[in-house]
Amino acid sequence: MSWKALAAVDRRVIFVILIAGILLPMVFPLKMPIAVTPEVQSVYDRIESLQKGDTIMMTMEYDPSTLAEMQPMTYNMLRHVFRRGAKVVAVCLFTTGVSQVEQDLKKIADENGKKYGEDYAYLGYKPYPAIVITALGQDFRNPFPKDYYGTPTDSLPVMKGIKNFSSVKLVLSVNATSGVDFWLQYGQSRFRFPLAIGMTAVMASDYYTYVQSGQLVGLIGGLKGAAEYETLMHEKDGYATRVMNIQSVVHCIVVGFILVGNIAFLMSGGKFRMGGRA
Amino acid sequence: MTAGMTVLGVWIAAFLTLAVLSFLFKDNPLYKFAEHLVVGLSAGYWFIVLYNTTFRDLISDPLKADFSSFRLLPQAAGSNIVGNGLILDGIPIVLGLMIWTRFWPKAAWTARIPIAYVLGAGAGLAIPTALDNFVVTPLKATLALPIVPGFWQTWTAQILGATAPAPQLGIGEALSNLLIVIGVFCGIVYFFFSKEHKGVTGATANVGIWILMIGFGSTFGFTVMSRVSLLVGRFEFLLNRWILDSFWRLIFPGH
Amino acid sequence: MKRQIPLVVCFIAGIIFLLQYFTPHPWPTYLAERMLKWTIVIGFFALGLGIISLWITHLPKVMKQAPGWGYNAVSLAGFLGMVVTGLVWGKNPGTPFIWMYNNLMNPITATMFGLLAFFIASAAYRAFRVRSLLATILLVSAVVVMLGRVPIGDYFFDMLVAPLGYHGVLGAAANWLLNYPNVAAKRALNVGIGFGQAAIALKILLGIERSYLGGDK
Repeated sequence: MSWKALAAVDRRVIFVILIAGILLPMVFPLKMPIAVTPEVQSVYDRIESLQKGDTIMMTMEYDPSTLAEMQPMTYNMLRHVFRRGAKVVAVCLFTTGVSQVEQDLKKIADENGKKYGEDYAYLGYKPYPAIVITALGQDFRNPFPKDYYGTPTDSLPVMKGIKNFSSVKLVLSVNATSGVDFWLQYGQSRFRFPLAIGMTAVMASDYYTYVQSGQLVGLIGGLKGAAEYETLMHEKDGYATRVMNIQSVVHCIVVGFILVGNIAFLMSGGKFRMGGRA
Repeated sequence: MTAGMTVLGVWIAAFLTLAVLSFLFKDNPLYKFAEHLVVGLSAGYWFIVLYNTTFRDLISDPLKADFSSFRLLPQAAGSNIVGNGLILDGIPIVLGLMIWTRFWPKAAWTARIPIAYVLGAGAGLAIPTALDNFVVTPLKATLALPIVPGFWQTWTAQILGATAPAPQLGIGEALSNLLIVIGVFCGIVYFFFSKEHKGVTGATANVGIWILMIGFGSTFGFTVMSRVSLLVGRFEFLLNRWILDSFWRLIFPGH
Repeated sequence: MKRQIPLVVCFIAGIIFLLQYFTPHPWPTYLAERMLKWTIVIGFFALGLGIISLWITHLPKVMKQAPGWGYNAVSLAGFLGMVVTGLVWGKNPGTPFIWMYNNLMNPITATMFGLLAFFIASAAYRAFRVRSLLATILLVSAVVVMLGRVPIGDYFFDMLVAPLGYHGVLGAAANWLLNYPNVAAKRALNVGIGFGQAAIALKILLGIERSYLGGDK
């Protein structure tokens, strides 16, 4: 096979190699330790500092398309919050995720023996996240006079004494949408509450700057962040940790693709220029 | 939901997953079927969610309360009062219905009014928050970064006869912080197109683009991570919930 | 008139929200609270427009039996299925509506996003070429992050550096890259975004930007 042919190999060959790279470590699992990064440790420490009876707001804005990354971090953070004895007021400002978030919240609440209305509440969804966040900053009841199930928000015991962001100890956002920017811009920068965000890996690299400036308490980026959280929670054989070990193999394959592709490119006459555009 | 419906659900989900994956070989009727199905399902889902949340809470319940008490204006403040009077609750409904006039050419111009209202509200909210969130706070954080290493602070304190402040910054961290300060400045210069990128400006912009390339590279690396995670999630479903749960337990019912 | 009224409405709404940001007095706060709710209600009708558009797009093709009309019928059937089950049985867990959400909508949307991994891998092999210094910087940064953020990176790299007394070097390098040069890059981008957003918002407020009014008078 010539270098030129190698550089232009059929993409279906690439797909088959990728599928093999996913299936083999699933059948023959690896076990490697996960190192914890400071950004995830900050989120963990912040939740660990919650006292029994504290209330947090948790916004979960993801849908089935990003479930694989977001669900593990939602489960772990919710378990942690409930174990600290804190209460949760939850919203979902992403239309197609409303039912998924309800199921995830209920599953972990039931697992921890928490009662709806007393230990947690789900306020549901309203359109236009930027507007809703601004309205929440004045009074949670403004955009949400009733919860997701039609119960007046005021009648929920968990909402007693909770008016707006200044009444909660932390706002925790598990967010796979552009809502991250809305929470930072219309929420944190205006109302100055402590905000921690779990987000997809696609977005994560853009938000390290906010951790450095103190606008974010911490950041959990993608499935790696979820795996780090599982390590901090001492969870053996967590979903995120298992998938990270599979992902390790796939990353090696992708890096291998990049290297082989470039070697084939250079050997078949491709030119490297010092200056010029990318 | 019965156990039978749960098993049926897994099989249908597996079929639809494989239908979408079949696109990898080529576009085909199975993939088109799944693609069109999800468009309709998503729209139907949106309808139900909007009906049960926004319409019920902010439109129908306040109007019912206003009509039953025939209240035109809001009552005294109290967050447990439903309805702000027919006038305040009616105005947004009229504005909202104006959006739908775009289907009638003679009245279509009125659709601009609620759009203008929403855009104006968004613009008014955006100006101060965008400047604070993207410019003021990050630049404050950049300029407040400590860039003087501990040994330099100790040396200058000794010369001046003062006490060196604590904690002391290591040389590595000091240089890294300096990299942030220089990188932010050079990156901003790169995007300044009112002056030609020549001489000192050109050199600064070059440093800026190198820093930006590191940022784009990290974004690419994370994008690969994210998409692979989602794909592994689907394979986990196919292998564990579909094949293992369904076939394996069919063959080995005790396991 | 037809263009002036929307411009005036835009300006008044914008000024109220802009000034309300800076004043804690009760009347502007009350006014802003009411007006925020109005925006959410208008949003409901705007999103409803999307659903009307779905029917306007698909129904004529089904009625005329245009080529591929079967797929249009599938879309409409999916819509009706969700709406009927949602209205009749409700949206709580255990209902047919949630069953359809979990077993029909969920796998399709999840798999569509998962497909992107294949195309990224294909692009990494066939299109990611080190033609210049800038592309090389991008590639090196991407490789360090891809290997440093997964456990296998440190696992193999440690075999090389452990005799020298180091461990976790690749992970530390990825962390340094993300927390320093990456922060500088993204912050420079954000400054531009912030100024751009404020400039566009000001142009909309003052009526300089009028593209939302459409072309006709």
